[in-house]
Amino acid sequence: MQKIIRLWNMYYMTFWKGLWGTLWLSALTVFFGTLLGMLIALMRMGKSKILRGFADIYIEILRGTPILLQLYFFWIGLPKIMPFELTDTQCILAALIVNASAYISEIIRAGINAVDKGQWEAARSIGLTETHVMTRIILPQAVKNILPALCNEFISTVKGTSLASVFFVGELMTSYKSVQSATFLALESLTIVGIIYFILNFVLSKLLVLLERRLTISD
Amino acid sequence: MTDEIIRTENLKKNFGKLEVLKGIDLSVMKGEVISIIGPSGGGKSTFLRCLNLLEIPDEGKIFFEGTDIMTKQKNISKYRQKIGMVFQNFNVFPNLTVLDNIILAPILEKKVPKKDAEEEAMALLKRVGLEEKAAEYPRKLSGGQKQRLSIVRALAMHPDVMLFDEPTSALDPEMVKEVLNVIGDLAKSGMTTLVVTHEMAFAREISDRVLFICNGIITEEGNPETIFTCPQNPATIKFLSQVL
Ligand SMILES: Nc1ncnc2c1ncn2[C@@H]1O[C@H](COP(=O)(O)OP(=O)(O)OP(=O)(O)O)[C@@H](O)[C@H]1O
Ligand SMILES: [Mg+2]
Repeated sequence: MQKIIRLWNMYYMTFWKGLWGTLWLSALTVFFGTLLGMLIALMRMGKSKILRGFADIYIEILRGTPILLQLYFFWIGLPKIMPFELTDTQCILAALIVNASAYISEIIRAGINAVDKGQWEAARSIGLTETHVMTRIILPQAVKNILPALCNEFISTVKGTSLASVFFVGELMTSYKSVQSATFLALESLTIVGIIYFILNFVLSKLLVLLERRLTISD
Repeated sequence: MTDEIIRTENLKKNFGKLEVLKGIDLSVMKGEVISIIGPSGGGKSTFLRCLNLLEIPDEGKIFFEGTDIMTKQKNISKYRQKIGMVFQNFNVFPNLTVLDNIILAPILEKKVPKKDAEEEAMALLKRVGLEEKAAEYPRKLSGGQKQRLSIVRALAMHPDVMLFDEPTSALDPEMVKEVLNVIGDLAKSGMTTLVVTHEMAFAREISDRVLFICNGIITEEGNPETIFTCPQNPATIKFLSQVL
């Protein structure tokens, strides 16, 4: 126990930086994953057979292969096809976003499908264009179903980003690795990182419960 | 009163193998009030929903003021603006206030200035006795109030025709009258109206014509007196003897 406290006192800056990296990576992943996921969800629900097929395959592949494999794939593959220089972090972030978008698109689709069919009909019957039906009537109602699931996705993304340490992208697991190699106190630094992860996700899930309560009150 | 506003020719609609409409021919005059009655599953709702293209017919034609609306489906939302529809389950928008439910479409699709739209919405709300609820969300309204809201939401678009699909079937009995009164007043004011209803006394009172739809066709039609007092078709006789 004393070892852990001493370790923390010596290296807390490294751990803080790691925590910051994890949060930042997760936030960007969920934010851009949501934008991309929205696009995929719309493709999947749209009229075009080709786009629908593409979206189906996209989702199946991303959900059917391990995320670590996807990270390697982007890390190796992306710099080869991009005309400009990419840092490791950018490659990994891109992979995380693409992976999250597959899950998020399903969240969005389910949220939209949960809106009463009568709302579509009423919105169309007063002469709203399809875009307005979606943006003014359906999405605002779907958000209530989507937001809690999206927060859950954020929590699992926080855990998922730990895989980025394989590529030494600065986040919590990477700080463990650097502290461990500097001190050889593997178990102790791992404990600290574990506690930080736990507190982080504990706080996030409490916030999620609060959010869900707010959403149901406004019903 | 003699101009035709809607005509359907040999309208057919299938859901998979199920033939729901088997060829409906109908001509509706401007200002005419038509009640549609008939047994459950006969295709009444499907017919109404075809008229504003919520369902796309498989065969046949729909003319609105002489133009075939199925060949120019590009501007489907423009067409729907001319046809108001009221549903059994109200379908008011829970994410918008009562006032916003009404002004949304006029502002977005007809570019009515917000102030004018609000003024008109308030006048409409007053007409149906809901002006005090303008700032509320629909969850605070009773069923009858929701249905009155959904009627004025449709009227705010100045439709040429109003479709009602069992507007009182989901209401508690004590609220049926307030909604029927609004529809009755509207019909008397000259609005072209098609209403699917199980309220036979109401149908008899307000309609110029009654259609009996059974198994996807109009098996009998005529003025309300004839239909209700001496129906000819055996299916109509059977149906009326059950509901009256
Ligand atoms: N979207 C749909 N998909 C499949 N079948 C449908 C659909 N809509 C309606 N039907 C079927 O079509 C038939 C006619 O339905 P419709 O709702 O038009 O009847 P209705 O005369 O309005 O009956 P009710 O008095 O019960 O409202 C029914 O058998 C119904 O199950
Ligand atoms: Mg029906």
